Amino acid sequence: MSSKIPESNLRLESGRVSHWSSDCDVAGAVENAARSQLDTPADQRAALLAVEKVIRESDVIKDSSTIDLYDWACTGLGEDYSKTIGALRLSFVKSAWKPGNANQEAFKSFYACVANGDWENAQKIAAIMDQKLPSESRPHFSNILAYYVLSSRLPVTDPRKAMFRTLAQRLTEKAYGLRDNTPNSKDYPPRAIATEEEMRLWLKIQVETRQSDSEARAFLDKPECNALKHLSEGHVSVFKEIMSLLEQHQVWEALFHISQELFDRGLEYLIEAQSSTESEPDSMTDSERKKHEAMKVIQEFTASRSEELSEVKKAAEARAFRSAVMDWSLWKQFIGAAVQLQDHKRALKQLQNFVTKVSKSAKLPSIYKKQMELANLLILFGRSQSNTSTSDENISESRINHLVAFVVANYNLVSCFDDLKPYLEQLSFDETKVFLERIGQEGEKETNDTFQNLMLLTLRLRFRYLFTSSPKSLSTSAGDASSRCNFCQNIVQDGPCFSNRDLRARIDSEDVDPFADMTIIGTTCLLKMAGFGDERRGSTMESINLKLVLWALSWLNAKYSRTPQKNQALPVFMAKLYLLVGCVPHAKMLWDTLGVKNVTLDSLGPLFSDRLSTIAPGMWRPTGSTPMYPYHKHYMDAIRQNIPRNIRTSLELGNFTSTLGLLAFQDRLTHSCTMIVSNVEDRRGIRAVGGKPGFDAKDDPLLRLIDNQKEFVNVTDNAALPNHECDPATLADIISIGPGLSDTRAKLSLFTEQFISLISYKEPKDFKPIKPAQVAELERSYIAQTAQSIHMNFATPFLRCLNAATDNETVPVLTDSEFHYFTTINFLLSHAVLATECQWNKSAPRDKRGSTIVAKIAAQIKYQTTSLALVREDTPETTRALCHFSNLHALGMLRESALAVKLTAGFLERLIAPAKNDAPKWLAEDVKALQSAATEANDFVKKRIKALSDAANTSGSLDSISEYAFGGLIDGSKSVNATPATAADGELETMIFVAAGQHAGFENTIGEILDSWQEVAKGWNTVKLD
Amino acid sequence: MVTFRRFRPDDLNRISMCNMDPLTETYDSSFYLQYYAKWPGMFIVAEDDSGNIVGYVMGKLESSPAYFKQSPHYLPWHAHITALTVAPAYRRSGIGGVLTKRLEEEGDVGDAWFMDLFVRKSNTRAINFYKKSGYSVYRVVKNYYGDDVNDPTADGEDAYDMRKSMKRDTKGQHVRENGEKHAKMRTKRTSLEDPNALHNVKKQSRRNTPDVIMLRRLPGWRMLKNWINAEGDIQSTHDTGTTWYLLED
Repeated sequence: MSSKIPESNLRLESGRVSHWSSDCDVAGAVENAARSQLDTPADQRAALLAVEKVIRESDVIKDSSTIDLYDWACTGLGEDYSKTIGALRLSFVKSAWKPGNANQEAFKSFYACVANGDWENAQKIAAIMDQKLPSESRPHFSNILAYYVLSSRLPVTDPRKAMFRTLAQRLTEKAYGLRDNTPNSKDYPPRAIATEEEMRLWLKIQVETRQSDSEARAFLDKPECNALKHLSEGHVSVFKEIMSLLEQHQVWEALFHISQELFDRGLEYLIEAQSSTESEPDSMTDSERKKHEAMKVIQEFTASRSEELSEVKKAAEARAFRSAVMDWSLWKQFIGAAVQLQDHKRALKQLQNFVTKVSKSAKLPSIYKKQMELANLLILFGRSQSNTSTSDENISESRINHLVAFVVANYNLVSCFDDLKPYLEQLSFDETKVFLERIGQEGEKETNDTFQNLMLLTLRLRFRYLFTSSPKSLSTSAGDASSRCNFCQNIVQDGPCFSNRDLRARIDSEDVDPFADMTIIGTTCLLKMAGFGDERRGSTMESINLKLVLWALSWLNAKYSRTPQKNQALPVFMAKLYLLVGCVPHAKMLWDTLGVKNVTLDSLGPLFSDRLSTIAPGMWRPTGSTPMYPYHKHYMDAIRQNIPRNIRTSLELGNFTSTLGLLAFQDRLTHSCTMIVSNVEDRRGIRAVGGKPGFDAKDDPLLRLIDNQKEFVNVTDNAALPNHECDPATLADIISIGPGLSDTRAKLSLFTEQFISLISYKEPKDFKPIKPAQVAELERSYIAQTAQSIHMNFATPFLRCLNAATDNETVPVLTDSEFHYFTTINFLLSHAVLATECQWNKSAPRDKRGSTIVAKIAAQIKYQTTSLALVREDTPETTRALCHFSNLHALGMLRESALAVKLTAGFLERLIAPAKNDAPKWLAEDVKALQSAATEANDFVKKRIKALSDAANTSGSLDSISEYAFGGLIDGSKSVNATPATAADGELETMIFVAAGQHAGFENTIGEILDSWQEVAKGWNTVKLD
Repeated sequence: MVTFRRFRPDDLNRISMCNMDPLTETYDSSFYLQYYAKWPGMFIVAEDDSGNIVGYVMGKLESSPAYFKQSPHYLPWHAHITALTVAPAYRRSGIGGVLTKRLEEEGDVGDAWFMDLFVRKSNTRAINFYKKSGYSVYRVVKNYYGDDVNDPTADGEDAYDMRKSMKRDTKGQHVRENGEKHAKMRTKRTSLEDPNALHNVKKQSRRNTPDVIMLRRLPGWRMLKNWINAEGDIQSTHDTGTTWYLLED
């Protein structure tokens, strides 16, 4: 709330101060509000204490402006709104407010409670308003909404949950009944459903308060749910929601039946709209003309209804039917329903007839023509899906014919590949071979121009890659460990097996660039050959061939720098790849061109910022702004300010579905993996350079809003990256430092931060308790309880990781380094619990559970250190150190592990200090062992930082890495014009070298890489390890 | 293939295909959410089969305040296209046309006289698209945009205020031919160096003096912005460091 509110209120009220309630001192309220802006905690909390006193003494503040003043003064104090300001607002509405001129004051109280998430008091206020204002609809629907929201927020154990749910359901039923019983919409009583928004609220409540599938189906069968009736009234969104509910509850027959009626009537309106704008199309054939005649009969019928429908209603109906009949989501639902019917053949045939009718009866915009082509494909694939004899040659041939026709018709659309991808994934291996052959033939036709042929051949290449990423492309014979590629019949060892001025001008004028697509396909193949695969759990340098990664980077860089970009796929791809090899500054430069900010941070931010602190801690400074500041600002503004404000607006305007949507969005943002992980990134980054995060994890203004029991949501949007992988794999899986964000990782990170905050706390130096032993005991008890609670929260997600580590079927959610880091944290937590819970005397024996913990922690650290030393064997000595730039994440996680061990050792040392004589002897021994493990790891990290810095700054690095990548082609002993006899002789190497811009192009790329590495190494030198 | 439907807040997580395009600006959450809260039927998205938002249109229904009725620039109840964007991968496929048509239908439902929009004079592709969709230039608004995409040294760029009659405007009273020849007057610029001058701004706007106010980032700018929005008759555009407000009188 802005400071302007009390100012303006005071100004407004200054003339009538005498009307303010004397029992609640106005001057006192003003004084407390003023004190709330002062610096001392006592002043800041003065208003809150006054509010608590009013509530305790059951007083009522009879002026809403005074409550507003207190509301403003208490903002940000972390008080429970429902027990303080919310309670004041309720008591005001209950005892002081009278309907009449001051209705707005009651609404204001309601909105304020809603905006602060206080639905308990909001509901009570709404109920009072509903009762006292019977001729107004807004309080009535606000009351219904409040019942519904409250019922969905209360825990299952609360008996009011069922009661409020029933109340919401009954009240909406009644409101619907009032509408149904009133023939003319102008005569609807105030409590009847009148608007589309109220109708949507009714539907949502009615469905979501039905607890079982059968109850929901029974409801959908009721006359109130007659979807077409709602559509006739012009309520397209209500119609679509009912369709989605029928699909969700698998009421296939009803869904399909509606589709028939919709198409019949929708077609009439489509034709009517056509005939009103143009005369009969000249291009009609005789059979089409006959169909058109038949449609005229239907039109006449429609026209005859104008007597019963007013013009406005008819226009609304026509608009709604025209909109629904061309709605692709509905088409998908109808085709999906037809496939499920017993007589699916007939049903699909009927739908196909509709496609023909729609295609021929109306002059369609290009987007709908494409929609009809795709509807045909969907029906065709639906038919073969439901066909028991899958080897039916006719169907197979038909599928391929349609696919080829679609490609030939839409080759110049960027979306052509993505449109077909789901269908291509369903083809059998034999079908894929025929399909590729046919596209190849189409791309060689002399009647086509060069651009068309180039596009078709590029699409063929993309399809070929897609099929390669499918398990159908490989076969394994019994007793044979290796796989054979079904396309080329070669044995696959390491996993599954790319200047013309007129053409350039043509490409410049199109939305598509075939050479960009070829570069992406080619470099993706190189990355897979280099060892990056979808099952990778993190940077395991001994398995990665850096030479091929350098090839890929130089090819991409050459393409990026030579021609303007048609879309953002290439820079996003490159930014990810540069991050992967530790070139953070160059990755950031590319990323900054993409304009990711504000609302797109939640979904796109992680593509760049995830794990950033582990690879480039030098981006942080101990104080001041941080790389994650834009994230914090976005979440704070959205959660605390923008969403509450718009919730209020939507309620004021009666847009109830927007209110519910905003509430859900607020909850989703509060539990966003990006929000949590960006916060953790900052904490790690600031710690790495010796700073201290602004808040403890438990006091952080965003983290403290989180409910640990809820699932944290990952909304990372990989659509910005090109994707030619067979579902469910994505390119992001291949070129990211590790698995994407997840509930498990976010929770482990959050609980770890809570633990680190706990053990990092130090008493102020001037704190000298009179009874240190007693204080120490109390502190131990507090820490024991807190650590125990964190450990219990930590256990569930950690167990999931342990299972994933041993189960090959489960998709991993952590990198190897993260797994070992969290394992270390798990042991440290166990140790902290045992150390604080144990008997506190010198000879107290060590708990049996704890006898090996310290050794296990040391083993984890040792494992992380040893892994970091590994490099692929065929890497020449001159470039070995540089290879470590591709493994910075592991180095960062080792540093974090060592820091956590060091902090725990420090914490235990402080714990022992006040009562040194009483502390168990074994605890002091553990402290020493932990300190030793942390020191050893830190020494390793220091040496590695020095090695990285030396390698990046050594003269001759550019030459040695160039020679490593392209050997003779760089030093001139090999010529690009000499054709190698076999692939093994370097055919691929030569092709890539040419694509990368040869000597000059490659050196440019390597130069940029080295510059980035130098800067990253400089950043690592600012890391504090002692 | 794409489906057209109303916007939902979670769509903000799937707008990368549109908003990574340099021509599409990404705003603070309040910008999108206020349209969702106030005009949910006029925020329409095009969603592909994978759930990506490949196009969207944001619109609103509004009019000038009643006390402006005597002004020649009074805007009666009308619909306005605030933003229309289609992802590069989906351009030339008719999505923009469908989105505009859907918004016009909502304008008719809301009983608007006309639909209007502002477009850079240099954006010929967009202007041709709107002309093809039945829009015509109503007037030229001088220096409506704070920057000029083609000339960084220029003070700003003119906009075309384009309009299309909705069903209510049966006589076409709210559109005109040769709108390119009608320039909106702009005679005076005021630079505010002191938030107290806000009162003067309010006074000036109430007199019939056409005004453009250049407002540097001052402590009082939010107050002015809120006041402007509440009046509903002022367009604003932003660039870094400087905010320009064009007051219509």
